[in-house]
Amino acid sequence: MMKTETHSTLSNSDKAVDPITLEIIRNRLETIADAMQNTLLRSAVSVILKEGEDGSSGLITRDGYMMAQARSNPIHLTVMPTAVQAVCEKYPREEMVPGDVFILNDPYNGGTHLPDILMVMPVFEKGKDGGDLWAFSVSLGHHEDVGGIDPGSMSARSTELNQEGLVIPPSSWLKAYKQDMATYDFVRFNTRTPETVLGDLQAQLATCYLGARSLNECVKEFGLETMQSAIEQLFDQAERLIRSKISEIPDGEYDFEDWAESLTPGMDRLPIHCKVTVKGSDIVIDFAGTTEQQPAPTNVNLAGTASAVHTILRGLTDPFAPLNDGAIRPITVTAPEGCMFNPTRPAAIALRAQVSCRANCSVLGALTKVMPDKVIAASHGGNHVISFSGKNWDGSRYGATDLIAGGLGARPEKDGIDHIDHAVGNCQMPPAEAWENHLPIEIVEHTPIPDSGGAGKTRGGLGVRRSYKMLKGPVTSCHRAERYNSVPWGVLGGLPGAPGRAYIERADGTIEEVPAKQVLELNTGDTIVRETPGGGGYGDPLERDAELVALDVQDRKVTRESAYRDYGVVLDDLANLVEDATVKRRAELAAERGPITWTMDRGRDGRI
Amino acid sequence: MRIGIDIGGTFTDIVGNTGDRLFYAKAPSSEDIVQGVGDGVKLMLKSAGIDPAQSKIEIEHVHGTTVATNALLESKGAKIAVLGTLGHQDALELGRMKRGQLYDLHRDAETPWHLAPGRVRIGIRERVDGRGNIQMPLDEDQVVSEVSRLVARYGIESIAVCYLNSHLNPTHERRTGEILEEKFPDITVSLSCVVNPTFREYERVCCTAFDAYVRPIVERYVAQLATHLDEGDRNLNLMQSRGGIASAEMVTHRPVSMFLSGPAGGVVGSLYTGRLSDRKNLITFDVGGTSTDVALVRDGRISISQEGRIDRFPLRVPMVGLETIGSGGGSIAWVDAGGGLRVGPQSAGSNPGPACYGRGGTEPTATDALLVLGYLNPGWFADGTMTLDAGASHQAIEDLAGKIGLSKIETALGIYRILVSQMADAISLVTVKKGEDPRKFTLLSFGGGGGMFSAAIAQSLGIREVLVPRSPGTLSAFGLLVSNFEIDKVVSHYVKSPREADTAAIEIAYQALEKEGAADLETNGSKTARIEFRRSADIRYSGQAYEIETMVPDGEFDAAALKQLTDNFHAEHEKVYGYSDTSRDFEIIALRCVAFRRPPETSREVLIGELPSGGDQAPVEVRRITLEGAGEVDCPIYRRTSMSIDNPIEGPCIIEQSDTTTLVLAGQSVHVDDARNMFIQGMK
Repeated sequence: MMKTETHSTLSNSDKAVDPITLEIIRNRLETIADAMQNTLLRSAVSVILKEGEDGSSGLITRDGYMMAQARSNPIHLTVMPTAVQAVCEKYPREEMVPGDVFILNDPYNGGTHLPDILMVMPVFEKGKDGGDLWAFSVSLGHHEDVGGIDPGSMSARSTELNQEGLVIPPSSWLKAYKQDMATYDFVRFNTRTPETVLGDLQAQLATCYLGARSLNECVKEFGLETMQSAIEQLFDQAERLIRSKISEIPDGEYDFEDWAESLTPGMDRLPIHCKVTVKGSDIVIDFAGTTEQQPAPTNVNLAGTASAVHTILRGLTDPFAPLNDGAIRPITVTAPEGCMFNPTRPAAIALRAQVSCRANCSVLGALTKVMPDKVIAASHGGNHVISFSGKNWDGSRYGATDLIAGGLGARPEKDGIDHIDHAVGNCQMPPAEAWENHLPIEIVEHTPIPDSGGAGKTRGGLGVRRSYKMLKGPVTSCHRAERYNSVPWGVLGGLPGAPGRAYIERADGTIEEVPAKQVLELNTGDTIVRETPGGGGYGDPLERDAELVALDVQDRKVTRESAYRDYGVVLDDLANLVEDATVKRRAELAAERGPITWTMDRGRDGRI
Repeated sequence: MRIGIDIGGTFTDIVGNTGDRLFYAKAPSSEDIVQGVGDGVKLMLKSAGIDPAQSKIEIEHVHGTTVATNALLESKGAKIAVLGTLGHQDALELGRMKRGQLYDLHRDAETPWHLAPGRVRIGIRERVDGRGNIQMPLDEDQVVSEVSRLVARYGIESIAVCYLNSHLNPTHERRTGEILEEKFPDITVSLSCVVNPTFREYERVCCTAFDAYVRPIVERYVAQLATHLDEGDRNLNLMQSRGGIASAEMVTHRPVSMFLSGPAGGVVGSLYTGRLSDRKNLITFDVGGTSTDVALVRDGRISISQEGRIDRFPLRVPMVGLETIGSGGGSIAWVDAGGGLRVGPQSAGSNPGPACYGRGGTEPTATDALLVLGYLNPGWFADGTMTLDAGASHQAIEDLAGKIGLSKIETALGIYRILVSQMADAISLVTVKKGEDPRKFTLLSFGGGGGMFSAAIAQSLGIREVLVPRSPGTLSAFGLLVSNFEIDKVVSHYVKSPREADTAAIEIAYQALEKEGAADLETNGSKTARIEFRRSADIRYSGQAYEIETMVPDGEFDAAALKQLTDNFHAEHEKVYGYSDTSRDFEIIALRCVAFRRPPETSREVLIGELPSGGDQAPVEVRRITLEGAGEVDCPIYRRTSMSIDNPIEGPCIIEQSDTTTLVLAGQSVHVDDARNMFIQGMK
């Protein structure tokens, strides 16, 4: 469990470091983390790590507090300290020697989900010559395969952890620079792609070495005492910075209910309960009341839940604050054991990213009521992933995954952005031409959906429609998305964004609706059409600059009907503004509706 | 004679090469750029004693220009429309969904949709399938009716056409181009199959849209310029982003290749400047007001990127590999809410600029710190065109010092140290990311601000020496003089595995590219120099999403060439990514060819010019400055023009010259070599 303590993490010195040296050390630590990340991506072998950039690098203090983390995937934010703690519980620090390296992937003991292997290397004052253990150099890589029922170890059909692959508890990888062959062989014989996995682990090792070496150079340049004092001061600085922002939020307890989509048969949506307590400059996020853990891989452990919470709180406080322990000290994240945000062994956990995204959104929802002028409206709610496996033109087997996004929620000063990844992930959509040139799948359409962005003074970003026609069946497809049975809410009079939807248009013309998450069987000529949610609107649509609404209609973002119905804007045949009629129409609509007395509009789930 | 003309914000630099001597001229850049160029060229010719009306001399103008970049940055491009395949017409706005800024909820869109919002993006009924077959014929009537409507309603001046899979079969795009040319002769057209014929529709449409956006501007600019030149546009040439020049006519065929026209000249100039002193590995370092540009010269060649960025958007045209660091002379020092001292990334730019500019800026900047430390001469800045208000700098730094509890001098020194550390960290990241060790390079400082930081940065990175060219300000114009004429061609050519490679088909494809390139170059440059070719291929391991440009050996593409290409690819992969796997299959995605023609050979003596008479090398003054570790010292100030060859001066000292000021630290020494390049050596 994440705890809030304003502890002194490195207390062997109280000598203040001057602000110049402090800033130079801060820059240096961030540069080291970024250089580690470059090394990780550069020397990795697998496509997912090298080009999907699904990995992270960081520097952790002796006591397990984050000094710096590379600018990488938000979903890895804050998971490294947990890994270091797990290692140290099993292998006492006093017994560690230079050249020791540890790995783990157990989500219930320091890990995230099984494909993510964390590597931890202790850093000593005098490098190879030992001295005090004062830091850890850590890398995380998402691996191509760690066993389990389906290749890739990301199966949608697992119901418990052990079906998902090899579980690695904190284990010795190198002992005093010497490979621990027991662990090595266990990993090697429990993956379908040993060369790639071992190659990527080699990249992680190079990353950890670089971090350790660079920290040693810092010790030579500044001295250990100065480094440790500086780090402590940097924590305090970041903490003061974040506390000053949290203090601006009114004290109180704020409850919010939201929903995640379900992969569990018979359940259409899974309630999430989030309570945010703000007291002075402290903030506590508690998920008591959230759906219990699922017999499906749609759970996320508490470290992952916390990453998602920290990601949104960073956005709401200071997105540019230093990435160190100080910045998260004022924040506590709790969830009852056994719920889907803090499951217990042996709950399956492979598809955690989408679930953690829901935690992120619910914190935004809880705080919207109390700081509506600082938040943004709700976004599309997660990655919308679909994978296909079938046979290529030449008969060879293929497996391929497509990721698409929906609309970003409207902001107080800006419209939402169409089709953009948000919250915890940061992936890149493959081009339609990559699909069509290499696989028997045609991307029939990839277009924004008019009216999917919630109306508002600023408008929500648009969701997209992307449809895939199977040119050669049969194809098995796993489809998973969010916000089909709930909507991205609008704020302060803004209307909600449109929910997502999917359907199959069979070769014979029949239409089959598809739920948010399902495994599909497709044949030649079938088309799967997926529509992603739009972002919610912000502020009264009747106050949106009517000229902008006219342009929205010309730009195909808003239909003429919605302009009239939601924005009260009257247009001529060429979609030019008719001013007098608009003034009249807006007055009528305002009178009909009355004053806006609600903060959030959640469509069928009501206004609150 | 060739004349290089580099138009900067303040000055237009002109260098002329008569073959046996270089002539320099400098004219203030006027509001009317074209007029400024005309004046400058006349000035230069006069100094060279040439009367163009009298003599029959053939003049070849080479031009570096920021016209395309400025149109973009000032949003003054053309009103464009984008025609796409129905169902895919919005790729320009929808992009690839990845975000550059991870946590900021208020970030701007990642795609350049503003070039052509939805109302001017039209889905055309046509379809080429994923294997290049026509699936649905082009609806020609729709093209005409939609464009007529857009012209009437939105005043469209330029059109980008980018259909799905046109890299495999450009028939529909070409036909659309013909129709537009016939029906709308006043509108310029950019076809993706001409501008950037490789796969990935988002990146291709970005490139095509940027091309359309600046096309009428570049065409107008060239036409205007030609009216001021006696020869018209016949001998007008422009620098392209890739660091090679092309005729005005060629450039207007693909204006998207012009975005780095200005800085590319500087990188080429650096390459040649280094060569004069036999330095082949350079990190070029150009400190501007808001940012710093870094580029690499490796083994005597400029590092070219096939996919760069412009204003944070992807731009898939070959360009010199410039990396931008967000620190510069205008970087603002500030205190964050947690009490930490930070420098940048916000910048005062040049307007209002640093406090000492006296243009209303009150925030303490890097330049203010340099002034407080005594490194800059307030009475002589930017070649004597500006006087700095030292009092304003002292006040701004003093105010900041009060907030962090340090003295004014400590604060100024702190800002300097932080900047040096930031720039050094960034240079290290940039070079290591490209698989290079910065310690093996010479740091070449150009632009106005580099000399303040380069010695300290070199010291902290373990770089052995700093090179300050004779005239950093005219480096770009010099680069224009010595550049090749270059035309690059690319074609999508998919080969699933080297085992399945049809070498004869590849050879035919290369010959076609060479033929196109040669035809484009035919009328360019000195006819005495033959046209040469350099082939390369974009290759990746199967399953990867990005390709590496790999050199193809000269001569016919046969089995031996394929073998060599294979070896080159593995080696290049090893270099860029730190590993290679010779057992792994790879795919060829595209073939590239550069056709080039070298400029007439100019001797080293001419390039260096007359050696300095050998000044007395005595300090012009002694100033109190503050140095890290040494505190306040009396520092001798020298004029660069007074320095004699191979006669080192010990640091600390400051060397002033008309376009830059160089700080040499204690323990270092500085000298001028026989190529008139200045070197700082003896780093600790």
